[in-house]
Amino acid sequence: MLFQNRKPLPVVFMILAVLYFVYVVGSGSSQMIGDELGGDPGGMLLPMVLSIFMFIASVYLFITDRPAADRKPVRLGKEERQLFLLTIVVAIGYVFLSRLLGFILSTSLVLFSLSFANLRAGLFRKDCKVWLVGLVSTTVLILGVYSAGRVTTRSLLMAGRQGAIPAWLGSTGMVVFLTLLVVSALIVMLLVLTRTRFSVEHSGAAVHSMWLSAMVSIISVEFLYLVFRQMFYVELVKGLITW
Amino acid sequence: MKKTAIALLMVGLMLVTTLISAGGTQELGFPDPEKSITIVVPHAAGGSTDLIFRALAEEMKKASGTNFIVTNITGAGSATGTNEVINGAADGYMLLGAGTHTTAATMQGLTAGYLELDYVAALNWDPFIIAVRNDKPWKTLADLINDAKSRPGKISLGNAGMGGATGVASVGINLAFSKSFNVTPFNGGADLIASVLGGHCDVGVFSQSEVVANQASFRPLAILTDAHSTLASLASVPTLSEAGYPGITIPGGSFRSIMVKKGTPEAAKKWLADTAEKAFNSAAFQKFMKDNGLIPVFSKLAEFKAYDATIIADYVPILKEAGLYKL
Amino acid sequence: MDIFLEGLSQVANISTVLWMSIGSVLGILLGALPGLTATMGVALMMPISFQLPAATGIGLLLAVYCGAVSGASIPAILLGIPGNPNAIATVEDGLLMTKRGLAGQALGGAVVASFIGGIGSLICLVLFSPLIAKMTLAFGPAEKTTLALVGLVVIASVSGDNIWKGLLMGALGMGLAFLGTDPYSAQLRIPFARYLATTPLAKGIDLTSALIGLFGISQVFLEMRRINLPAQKVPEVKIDNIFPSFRKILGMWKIILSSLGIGTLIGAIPGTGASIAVFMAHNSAKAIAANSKGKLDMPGTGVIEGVFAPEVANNAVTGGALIPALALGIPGDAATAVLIGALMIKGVTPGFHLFSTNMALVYAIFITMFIANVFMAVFQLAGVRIYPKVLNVPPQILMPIILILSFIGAYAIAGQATGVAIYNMGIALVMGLVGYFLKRDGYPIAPIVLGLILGGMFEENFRRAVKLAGGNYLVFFTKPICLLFIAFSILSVVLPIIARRRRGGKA
Repeated sequence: MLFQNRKPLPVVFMILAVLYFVYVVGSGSSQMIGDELGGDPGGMLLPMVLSIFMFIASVYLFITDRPAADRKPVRLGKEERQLFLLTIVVAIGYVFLSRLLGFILSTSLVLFSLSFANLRAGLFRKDCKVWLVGLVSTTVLILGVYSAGRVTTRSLLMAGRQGAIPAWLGSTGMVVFLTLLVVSALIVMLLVLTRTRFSVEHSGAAVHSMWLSAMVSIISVEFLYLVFRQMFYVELVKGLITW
Repeated sequence: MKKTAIALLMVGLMLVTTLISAGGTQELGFPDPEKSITIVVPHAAGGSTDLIFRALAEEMKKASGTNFIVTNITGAGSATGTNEVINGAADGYMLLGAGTHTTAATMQGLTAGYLELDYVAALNWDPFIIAVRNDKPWKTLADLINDAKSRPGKISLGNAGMGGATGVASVGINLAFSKSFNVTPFNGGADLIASVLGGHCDVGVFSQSEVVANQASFRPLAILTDAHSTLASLASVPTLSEAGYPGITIPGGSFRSIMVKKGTPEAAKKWLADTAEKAFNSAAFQKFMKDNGLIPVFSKLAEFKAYDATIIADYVPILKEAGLYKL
Repeated sequence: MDIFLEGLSQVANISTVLWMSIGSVLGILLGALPGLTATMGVALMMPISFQLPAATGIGLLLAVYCGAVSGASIPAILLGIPGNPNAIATVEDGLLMTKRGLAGQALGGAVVASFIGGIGSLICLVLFSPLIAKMTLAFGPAEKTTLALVGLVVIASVSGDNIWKGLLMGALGMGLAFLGTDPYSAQLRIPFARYLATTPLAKGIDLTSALIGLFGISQVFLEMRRINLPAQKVPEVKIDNIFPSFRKILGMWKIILSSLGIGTLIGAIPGTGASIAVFMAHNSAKAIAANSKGKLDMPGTGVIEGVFAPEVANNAVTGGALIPALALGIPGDAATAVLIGALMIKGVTPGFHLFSTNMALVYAIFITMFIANVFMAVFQLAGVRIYPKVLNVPPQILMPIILILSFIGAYAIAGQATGVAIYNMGIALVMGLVGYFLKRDGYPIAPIVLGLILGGMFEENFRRAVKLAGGNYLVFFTKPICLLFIAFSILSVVLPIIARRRRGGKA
């Protein structure tokens, strides 16, 4: 068979080169406008040459590049394959759903689920219940931490605007800093209070993994929110959480 | 079990704050102190358009206490940055550093441009100047035109990009002088300067401020506006009619203004226009315009809309003649 | 002098110092964790640098870059696993020193060596880059076209085992760069323009998102292979005596100088990078030690000389790689390619123009490079007992965080426009998967990055040159500099092929 002992990538590139050629032809020449004299090669020439070159190079690689006989291809085990697929599915879901759910919710749920699956080194039916409990508690906790931060920020800004507090205290940088303090204090308290209760010895590996994932996801999400939204004014989508 | 009790208490407290914040999102009015206002400059950083908007943003920041950010979104003349504003939200937090480049790009069909934008404030004009490197043989515009006509297509006439106002001006010049130049677009004003300095391009259509910055090595041949430059160092540069070519209508300079996406609330537009007016009238910005020979033409909102209509009316025949008009 | 002061004023502020400290520590941590590379660190920090003033942002990226190159020595010495390819040659002597109970001295020596390498190459950068930039004043569109060609072809020919793979990857990168609007004529260049013109597709592929995907997300998928491997436990080692004596360092001056030269030079050649330089430096140190009449210990036997040579060299690569990057816009390695990308997003195009009109920023970059090296040394020495503990952090926790960081980074680049931002996340994901399959099958990634960065420069200048010549395509063969560049490109394709034929013939 022609396709035996050959790597699939050159074939993919051949297809890609053909598709690119079609794309280029479909795009038209995008010649410079107002060109009375001529001489502009147009926007089609180089991409077309490129697609032809890509086709030739991939045909060449298809013929010559065989996997070395002595080296076995790296095969993923069952768990790794599951994890791989899960990550792709979750990532695609994240891209499409983040606008609907909002940054805070979608990110913390995705981060929790991935951390949990990673820490458990695979997907197992027996973990399902723990995972669900984790999802709910992550949601509750992140909402709490996030809202506490928001209340701090909003009230400080309001007070700053009404002149109730000195201007420097109501400045953006200071408000971010104070919010960070409040949020960190909350998170540290959470950690201290729950650490022993959820240790491996006390509650078993699965529950411990759930706790760790939930904490990792809460800390990362809140921190990312503070840096990107509050410091850099990046418009993170609000989604379901409207405040 | 004390710890459990504390934990429960904490969760309870957090739920309360959640409810408070969920219920109590009162509007703070425009602008929200948590947000900054972005001015999208559709040209590269360091160019003349960029510098004008950076100076203005600084003064707007001072005048209002709100954070203004300038972002450069380049590409497709000025269409990429313009589309960025049009695709954004109509909430007044994203302004476009607009002007004649927007008019040109819109008419060429590169962006929905002014059809999808609302008027905030008109700022100033930066006159265009035709210039060559000072060791070139052409002493006057007539020298250059005669030489170009004697060997059509051999002399290159550079502009800062096809989508922008210098692109339209260079095409206009070429049409006025029997298509004898080789019109070539460059990647922004800075690239054009370097290419004319390096001798890779013979003639360039520059903004006045670009000529001022490189006066030691440039020879200005003509200013494209009807009046002389207000700058002492360029006051002697002849206008087109003085150079012996009266009656030619081409865009004489680049105009800069602030626009927002269509549908932005009136209150926000008014706040922005008033802030722009304060910034425009600040001593620092007035000095900046004077130092760079910019011609102030401030107007806002409806008044600006009427003013822009005259610019559009001027542009249509030029673009139609050049075959660039796609609307 | 005024310009220098202006450059200094761009970086002499708390925000710069703060961000660079964060960058430095993050860089060292990233470098120390196997599987996370310097390039990935720089790519992931790009969205943050994008939000900062140009000089501060570049300073942050340089701090991450220097820290990650230096931090890679920590696991190399303690575990015998290099944190990233920069430290492959440090493993041999480093691990032996740990076994001999000299871990402290190896770790400390590596920091001192990295500092010397970084500062030495910075001096070369300061001396040579303005000179090279000045030479490019004569470069017109035709010369720039062929220069871009050289950059693309050289990196394609030196990276990876197979030149055809490199060329194919370069073409792929260029092809991606050509998507969207035609930069030369400012016309739309997409099929079905009526429907697609208002979609983000008209903008083409966002460079940052692509880089984040190629270097961040792809690594997350690659690391899944190790998910079931038992965690590496760092052995309990005594870390003391961290400073090598001053006399010892002085005695190694020959090794230091030769490693510095090798590192800077290799770094300056596009596409080569640290993994080649460190072995060359290690070998050259052996030769020097053999000729030293016993004054120097033989590298390879667990001695400080064998740690010094590669560690000087790998940090010398950082300054070396910046020379062509700043002066010509042609990056020396993948990490500097990302740096150039960060500059370009800020509207700063490296090359002659940067040096002629924005020398203040160039000085600011030099100064931040200096600060980055100082911070790297200070923070790595200060935390010499802490970083080994970081190696115990399971990768299982890190990988999801890196995935999310990548997505947020791609999102944040578009700042205010959420529609474009989500499109960018999609680009990052697709490029991440592409990067995973390419890396898995041994295709080099660096040429894609070069193609993405140089593709636009190549096309625009190609068309401008032809247009200026009135439609004459032979214009590239009429200028001496172009001919030189073309000859160089052809040689760098043909020589490796001939070399392989020869080797193949013998076998």
